[in-house]
Amino acid sequence: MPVNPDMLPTRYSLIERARSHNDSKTWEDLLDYYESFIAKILLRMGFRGMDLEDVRQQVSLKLWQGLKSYQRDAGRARFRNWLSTLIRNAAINWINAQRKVGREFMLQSDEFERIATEGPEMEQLIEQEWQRHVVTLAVENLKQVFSGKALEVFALSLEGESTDSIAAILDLRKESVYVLRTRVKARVRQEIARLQLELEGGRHE
Amino acid sequence: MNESDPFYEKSLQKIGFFAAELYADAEVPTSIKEARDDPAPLFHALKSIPTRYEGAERIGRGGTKEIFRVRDLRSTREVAMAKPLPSLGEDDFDAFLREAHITARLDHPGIVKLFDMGVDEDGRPFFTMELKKGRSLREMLWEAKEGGEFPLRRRLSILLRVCEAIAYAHSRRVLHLDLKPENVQIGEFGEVQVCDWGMGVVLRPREGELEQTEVFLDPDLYGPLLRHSRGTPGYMAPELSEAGRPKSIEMDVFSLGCMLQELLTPQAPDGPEIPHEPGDEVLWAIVAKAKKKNPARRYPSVAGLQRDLSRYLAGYSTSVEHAGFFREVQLFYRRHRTPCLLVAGLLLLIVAGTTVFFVWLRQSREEAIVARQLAERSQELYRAQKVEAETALRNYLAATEESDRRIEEQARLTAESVRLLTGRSYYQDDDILPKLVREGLRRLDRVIALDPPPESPIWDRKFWLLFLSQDLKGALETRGGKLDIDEIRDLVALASDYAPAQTESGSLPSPDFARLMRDLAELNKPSRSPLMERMLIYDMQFPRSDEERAAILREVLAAVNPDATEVDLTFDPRDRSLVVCGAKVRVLSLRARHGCSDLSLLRFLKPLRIVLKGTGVTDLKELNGLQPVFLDLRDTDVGVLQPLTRMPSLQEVKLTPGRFTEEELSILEKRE
Repeated sequence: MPVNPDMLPTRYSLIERARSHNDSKTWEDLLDYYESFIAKILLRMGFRGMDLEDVRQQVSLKLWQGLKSYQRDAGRARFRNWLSTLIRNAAINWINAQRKVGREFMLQSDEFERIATEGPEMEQLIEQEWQRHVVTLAVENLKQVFSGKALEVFALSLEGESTDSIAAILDLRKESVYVLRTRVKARVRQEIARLQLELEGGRHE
Repeated sequence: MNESDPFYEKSLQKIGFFAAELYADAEVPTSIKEARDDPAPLFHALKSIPTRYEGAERIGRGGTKEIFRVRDLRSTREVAMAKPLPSLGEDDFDAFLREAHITARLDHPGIVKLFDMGVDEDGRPFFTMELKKGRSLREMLWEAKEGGEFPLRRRLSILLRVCEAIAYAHSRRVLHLDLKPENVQIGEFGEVQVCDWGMGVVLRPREGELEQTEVFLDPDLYGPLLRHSRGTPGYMAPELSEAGRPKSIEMDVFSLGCMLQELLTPQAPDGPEIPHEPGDEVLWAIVAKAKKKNPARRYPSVAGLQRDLSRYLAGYSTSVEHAGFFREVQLFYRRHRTPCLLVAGLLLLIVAGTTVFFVWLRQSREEAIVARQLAERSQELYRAQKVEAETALRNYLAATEESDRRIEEQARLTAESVRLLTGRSYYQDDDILPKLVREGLRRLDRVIALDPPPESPIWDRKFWLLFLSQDLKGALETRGGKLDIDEIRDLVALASDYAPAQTESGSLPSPDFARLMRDLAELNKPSRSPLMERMLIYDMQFPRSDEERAAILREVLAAVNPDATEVDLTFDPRDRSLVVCGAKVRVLSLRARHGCSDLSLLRFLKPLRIVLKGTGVTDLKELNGLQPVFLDLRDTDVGVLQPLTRMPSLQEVKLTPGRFTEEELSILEKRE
């Protein structure tokens, strides 16, 4: 059975390509994937307006530097951990720098306390957000392949609805629900795995 | 079309809840075979068939596929082979194969035949069809424009063949949806064939089970077939571009009407409008009926269009042959004069009798027709109204959703601005706080009037402000009393305890307020200290006696000095003198806590004479913001006198003799 070369395990990930060719266009593509995620996290941390923009640039810079030296063989689970520590540390460094020069900033002190003291929880939160980010990207990429109804079949099956009740809710036949559920599930899984490979630099072993 | 699909956002949100599981599941390494499992079954089922075609000469190219002339080695004949465009990938293959599957359902001389489907050595799908030598109707129309001969009768008979083919397809529940002269092939011997079923769909059956392949052909289950393929603007029924609208037979009827229009004029139609052209009124009436904007007013089936066209064609042909018939009759009459006269007389009688009968018959038939038209019209009206109502409902829902989104955003921004308003950086002066609180409540209420969603941060902000201003009953009624919010769970419990004590004037009696302050301090949460301080500030506007305020302050000092076994405080309002006792009383302000001011808690009594003799106070910053005239610091561990220089009102300070050097004491002199 011939296999799509895109799926072969020897394929370079986006990170590896960017690093091995040191190509600034590839770097920009890669960072684009992270930018929106970073902004979301900083918003959750309580940053606003110009401050948010400022911290975001700091984090992006750190991420850029970090990705260049990041060792892929450390494994994917470590990647998430590494990413969340990096973001949190960059945020704390920024706040401390502002305090040192006595500059007022919009962040409430309560929230800073949370960032500073609730480290593990904060990192866990960032990790969860990252997972959500990857899954959202994957589903959005599949919009061209499946209709919204098809995705809804999958969503309902995740929520534990039975084939019969999904068929009733969406006014589809049972056979259709069954076929769709299997196909969307396989395709979503494949797309998430692809994004993990691309964005986290891991490999299918 | 994707963007308007109402399911996407909803499903995306639902799927998002399971992000962690999905993410983890995808991380588990899978064998490649397993990953190949199911993504394109139509395509993979075909993969094992060996190739049998030779040579490839490209003879056409469409929006999604290329057509080649190839030689079929098995049946030793030339066939047309369709392949997806090289730019298309595996995600599009099933959509490509659907055309082949749809064509395979149809067996009719007016529809191009499918021979074979397969996967080539590059792993890409293809299908083969019969290869006809000939031209498309489009090419024939071009030639006619250049002055070639293409009589109306011939054009109409071609259209009639197209109608027959489409009527057959509809009987197999297949819609073409891209009918136009380009997709009608005319063979060397005049055969007419409809091709290019790439946009086609299979309608859902009314009853009964589906075959397996039909599941894959169901239009409900896939996204836009191929993002590059679109209908042809001039030939597309207007409702075809409405997202979510079920595909219907009337859409093909519309395209057939367009085709008839182009056959009558040299111009291709460029919209639903019908030009005013000279020509046969009957044919233009047929065009008008087929192209009605409201699908319910079109021919309900292709058969109706077909019947009208045949009738027209029949009338046309008899009128052509009329002259010949008359000449024949004349010849006959001349040959048999007498028998002819007799027969003519008899015929006249019969005609008179039957005429009477027919007049009567026609009357009753007309009545029936009027009744039927009435019924049809009311049904049309009903359908039109239903569509209108659905459209209105859709628009209303879209508008509500947009305004909900705006309200949610507004609520979020207001909550944020109110939070800043009562934040440390905004009030330098205690007196301003009550104004800020009132302003905050006013802003919140303005947004709450818009009915924001229950998960908005606006609710715990409002609760927080009401709690701050001691309106605990009001606070408990926030969000209709549904206060199951994690962030304020502790405060809700306190509010429930103390609300019954709340007086008519809106404040708590002093002993209750004092205990509430102590309870707040004992929650031992950093985020509750700012609330406690702000409550003390706000409380200043309630009428309380100095003794009551002293009692409240005693509780607060006891709470912020948890190590002190003995805390006492006496206040004499006559000379505003304050005596604090307790060897371990060290803290007189909240300045060590986040979000609190660095001012002394004693400021709430406005003392002029302060005695701290024998207390644990070591840092005079604990007295920040006070303006006493007399200060007794004997028997304390106060080390630095510098802060006293910020008290211009100070006239007398008592210190432990010998504790400070002359030099240290000299800063007090500088003050004077």
